[in-house]
Amino acid sequence: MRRVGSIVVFIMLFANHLQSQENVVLKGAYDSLTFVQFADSLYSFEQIRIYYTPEWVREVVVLQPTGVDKLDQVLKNSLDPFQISWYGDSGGRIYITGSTRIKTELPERFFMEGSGNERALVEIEKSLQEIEKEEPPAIIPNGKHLVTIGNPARRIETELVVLSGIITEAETGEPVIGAVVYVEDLQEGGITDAAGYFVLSMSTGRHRITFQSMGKKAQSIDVVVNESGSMDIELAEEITELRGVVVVADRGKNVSGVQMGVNKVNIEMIKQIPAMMGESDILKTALLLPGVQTVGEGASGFNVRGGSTDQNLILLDRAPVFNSAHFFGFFSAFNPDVVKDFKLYKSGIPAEYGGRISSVFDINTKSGNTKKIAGSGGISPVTAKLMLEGPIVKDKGSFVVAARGTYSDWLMHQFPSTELQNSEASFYDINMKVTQQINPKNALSLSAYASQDKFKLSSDTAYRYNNFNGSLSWKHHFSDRFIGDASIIASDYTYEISSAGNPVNAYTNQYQILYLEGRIDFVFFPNNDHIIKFGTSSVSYKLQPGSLMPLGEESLVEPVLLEREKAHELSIYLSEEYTLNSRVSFYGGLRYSLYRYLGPKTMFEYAPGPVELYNLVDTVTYGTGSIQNYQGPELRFSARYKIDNVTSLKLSYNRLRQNLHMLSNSTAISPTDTWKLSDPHIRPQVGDQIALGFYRDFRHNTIETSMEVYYKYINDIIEYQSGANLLLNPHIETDLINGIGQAYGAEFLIRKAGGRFNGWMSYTYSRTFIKVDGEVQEETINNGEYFPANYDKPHDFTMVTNYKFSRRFSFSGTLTYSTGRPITYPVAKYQFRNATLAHYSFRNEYRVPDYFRVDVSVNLEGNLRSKKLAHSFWSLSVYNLTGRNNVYSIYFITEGGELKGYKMSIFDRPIPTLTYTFKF
Amino acid sequence: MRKSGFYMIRALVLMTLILPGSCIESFDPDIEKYENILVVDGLITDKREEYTIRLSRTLRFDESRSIMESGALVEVVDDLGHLYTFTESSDGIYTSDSSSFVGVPGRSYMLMIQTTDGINYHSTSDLLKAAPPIDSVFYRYKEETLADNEKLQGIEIRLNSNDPQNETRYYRWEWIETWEYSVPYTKLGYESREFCWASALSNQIVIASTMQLSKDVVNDKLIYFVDNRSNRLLKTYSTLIRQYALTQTTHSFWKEIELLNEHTGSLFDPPPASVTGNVSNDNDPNEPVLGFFQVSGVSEERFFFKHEELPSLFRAPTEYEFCSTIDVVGPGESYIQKGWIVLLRYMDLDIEHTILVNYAACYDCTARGSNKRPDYWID
Repeated sequence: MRRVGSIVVFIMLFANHLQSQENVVLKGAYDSLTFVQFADSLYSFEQIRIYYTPEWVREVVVLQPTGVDKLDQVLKNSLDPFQISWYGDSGGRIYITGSTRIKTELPERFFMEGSGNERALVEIEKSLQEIEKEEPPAIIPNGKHLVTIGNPARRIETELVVLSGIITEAETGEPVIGAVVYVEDLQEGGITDAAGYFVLSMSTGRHRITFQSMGKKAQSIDVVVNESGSMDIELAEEITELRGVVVVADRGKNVSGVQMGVNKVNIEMIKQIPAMMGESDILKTALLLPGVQTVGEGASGFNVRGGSTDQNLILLDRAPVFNSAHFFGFFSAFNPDVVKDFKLYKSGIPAEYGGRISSVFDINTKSGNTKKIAGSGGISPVTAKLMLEGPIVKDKGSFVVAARGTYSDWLMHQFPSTELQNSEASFYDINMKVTQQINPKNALSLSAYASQDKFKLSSDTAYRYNNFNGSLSWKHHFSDRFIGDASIIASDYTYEISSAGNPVNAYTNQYQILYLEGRIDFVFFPNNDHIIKFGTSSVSYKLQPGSLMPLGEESLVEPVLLEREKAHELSIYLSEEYTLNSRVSFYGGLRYSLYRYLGPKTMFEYAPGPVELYNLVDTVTYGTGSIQNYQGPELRFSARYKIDNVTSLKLSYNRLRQNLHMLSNSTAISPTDTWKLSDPHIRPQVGDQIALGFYRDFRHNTIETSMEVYYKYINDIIEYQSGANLLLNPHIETDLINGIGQAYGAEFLIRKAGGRFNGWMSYTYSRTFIKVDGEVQEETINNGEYFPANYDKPHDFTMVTNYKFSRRFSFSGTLTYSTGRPITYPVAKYQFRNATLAHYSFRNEYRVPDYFRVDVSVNLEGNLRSKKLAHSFWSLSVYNLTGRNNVYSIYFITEGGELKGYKMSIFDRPIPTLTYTFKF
Repeated sequence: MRKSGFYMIRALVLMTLILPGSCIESFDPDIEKYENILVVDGLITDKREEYTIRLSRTLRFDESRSIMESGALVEVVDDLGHLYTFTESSDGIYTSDSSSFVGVPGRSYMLMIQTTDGINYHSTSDLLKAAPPIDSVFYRYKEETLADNEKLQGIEIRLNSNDPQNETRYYRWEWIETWEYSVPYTKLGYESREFCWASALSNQIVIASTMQLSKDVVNDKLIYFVDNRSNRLLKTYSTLIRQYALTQTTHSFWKEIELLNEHTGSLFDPPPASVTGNVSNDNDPNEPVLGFFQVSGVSEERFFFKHEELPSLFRAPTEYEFCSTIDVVGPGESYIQKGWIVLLRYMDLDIEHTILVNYAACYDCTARGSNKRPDYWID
């Protein structure tokens, strides 16, 4: 029923333009349709005819947010981004006029580009100025297209002025972080910071400024700038949150940003990806990114570019999280309902971050809705959760509270197996965030997180661990170009192992790490070519490395209390991002940290040679004050060279130091792993990484490609002697050995962001080797030669796809392939005391079979009526669709005196899950 | 926390399916590498008995024979300089003369080996610590349901021990089980072979440390579980528990072996590594030598258990389920040719009948044990 065969051009000045269309209310929902489908549907369901030229609307996708049912608004949303005009006549017909604007009248505060009608423009400017004067800064909702800043009388031509403002979400009032603000005619721009704040300098006069952010409808605003001023913008969601959209990095930033080796993922994408047992999981999502690996299914922790699991700085609203796993790593500790987004820095780590050498995993939780009370909840086979948010003071302050818990104990006890009957496993987590805008210059935010895991595995031993994190931050705008932020951060991690089965041996064993940080960060924008950041941080660490206490009166367990460990770390940093010209920009940063291991404490001294008990020569008691200092500069550098508008090359180098080490002799993180501070015997780990990348965007930045290569060298990696005892060991240094690590790799990524079909494909080739060559046999692994790390998986291929069939129905799929992880086989067996035992020598010489898994999910949104109690959402996901028996591990044990080999897999069949979510 | 962790995860997964399934399969790897290493298995106690030092070599993973280290010179020297020479009683098995050599608590002993190719090995000199007597050995009946719904029944053998001097601290236990059994059929002339006694040596690692306790008390220690997958508990069952007092280094060696064997490849396990003992090459300390020369005081306690103590619901195989008889008319020649054995011939209404049994073991218990009643046996 295509009605148009030739180009139709109508020019009808001052006709009764949209009058007739304005009140047309659409009965159906047409979001995400192509324009041709839309036109067909309109004719079929609404008896509205659209006349158009197919060439003009080829790239148009209909945008109809929930709640929008006016034809006028839908056309505007859909066609404006392409600068396509339309005209509606009184007969209910719509004519698409291409780039030719048809002016019928000038609606209030509405200006059509390219009219040449300067008089009309001036009039609107005047009226706007009056509004500005009364109530600066102007809040510009979506859809308003001309703004005047300042008094034209005070305008000085050619002078540079500053335009600043805050970008917020139209729906919730939350700041939009990392939004791109781009002055089109000047070809310059910036991005918003964590408070949604942006600052640009420009010449006076008229500019077109584009504001865009992932998941938000981009908007272009014509601004007449007369003098410095501010302008706040509200960006509407591009597509409703429930249906989600995948945008991994800010559009265009792939090529134009100086930062490399960073992946930003927002919650919409996380929720879209098929989830194991119905729990959307940010750590599992991160594993789909190139350069991020794990040793196996259900392993907590992840490895970034050959780094070990303790080398990732996991920050939840700035507070470090020491145990990021629930259920041994099958779920991550972060409730997806409160996560806004996360950023993962793999290289070129900015100078404001420090303390771990491989990556920074920076998680932001969402701020509450400042407009109205809202919430969401859901139920999956293992967990139930609820989230509530709302304003404290409308438009000024907000809160979010969320809780998540399991009912797995109850489920496990439904099974007859004695082992399960005697087992327990449960977890919960609670998140809270309060934000308050005190005045335009000052804002406060408070974020808190608490979690607990408990389990007992068919034995008398019960495990429990708790995270408690909190941060309070105060943001102050000294001026439009100078912003400061002061924070107090606390993290407390404790675990307890208790055994009550045998009253004589009953005990509790506790561990605690307390982290307190105060930091001040400043950002200074002298002009558009420089961003200067500097700040300082002071961290106090207090560790209780272990205490053993009798449990009950009959217990004969003798109390053991390892001495507390204390340390203080003071860091300062300065960085500058400098745009030399449109092609070249640099980032240079320097961080300097002074680490002091503090008394009072008793230290063991060893004779020169291996740190072994037989070399222990003295015990020295230190008073308060420093026992050992470690300090050093950490250089961070990145550079970008733009070959053309869509192609760039980037180079980065960074060094990081780490003074807090996880002691974990297991292949993956286990719940009883402890953290240890650098001390006179354990040196800080130092990592250097150099990376080079090539980036190119296609099709208006909707397809991004990148290729990055890296080489990493890590000094003083911690390894363990055979039979190392990491629990309650007062001279733990004798069980630890130092090694060096080397990693290199290449990562290829192609990504399509936005649209009905989106997703990415990545291939990574990477190798990681460790070398431990001590002075004596027990301090040497593999004869002092390099051996592959437990997580060395050379080939890794990932594909993530999302396809939206209709407004309510979408499909997602992920495919993962990787080389099997290295494993140690016995090289011989022998008879000893009536049993056959295995002898192992070279570590990680063999591999488990390759890993392959496909997950899919279909998501169905409830009906589309805009006025209803709650939006509901069903998701059916199938984990391991092909049912492949991926080998998790191969092991050898002596059973009944015989040595037997076994292979074990966790998921040998597809695992379907149905999840229900609601939002109100 | 190891294997059970895996089961629990499985259970969580299976909740969505409510289907049982096993994800652990036996696996035969193709391992080309092989390291030929000397293995020492020696034990000296303070009990007057023949001590043995077993010398062998490591085997390839898929090999089933043993390679013994024969023809070596094996000696033990104490800290007073007394030298005791061991003689090779069979290939690779070197035994002491119990009349001339008994270990003495408080003395230290060192093993010295010279192999036929002239390489000298020695152990560290280890102190023989006296073992306190075992206070009591007792049992606890246990029944559990496995993940596949199978019921496992049996008795846990447990013990109490203590050292009032608080000096023992590190313990290891071995045991010799003996149980009575009978065959399902009798044959004329084989009456004495109806009841027999079978024995088995322990092959599990059971150790304990009381270092963390204020008193040297071993309380309610589970030694092992006798389950209903064998005929052990169908008549009287007995076990001799040997309690060894260990030095700290000996205990660490066993602890490492125990940890290695607890590996189920779970990601919470440390990577498997070589566990070398207290024996080394005199000239090349880096040459690995497997096994251990253990010097320990020993105390023993015998424990009896009667079938009648079990609940009536207890079920266990007789291990003679494969036996069957057939009653044929005539001499049963065709069966005899197939290997059946005549159990009994009889006449019924003047017709000759023959009862045949499929295996000789079904009437002769000595095929699997000894019909000599142990002198310590009680009825």
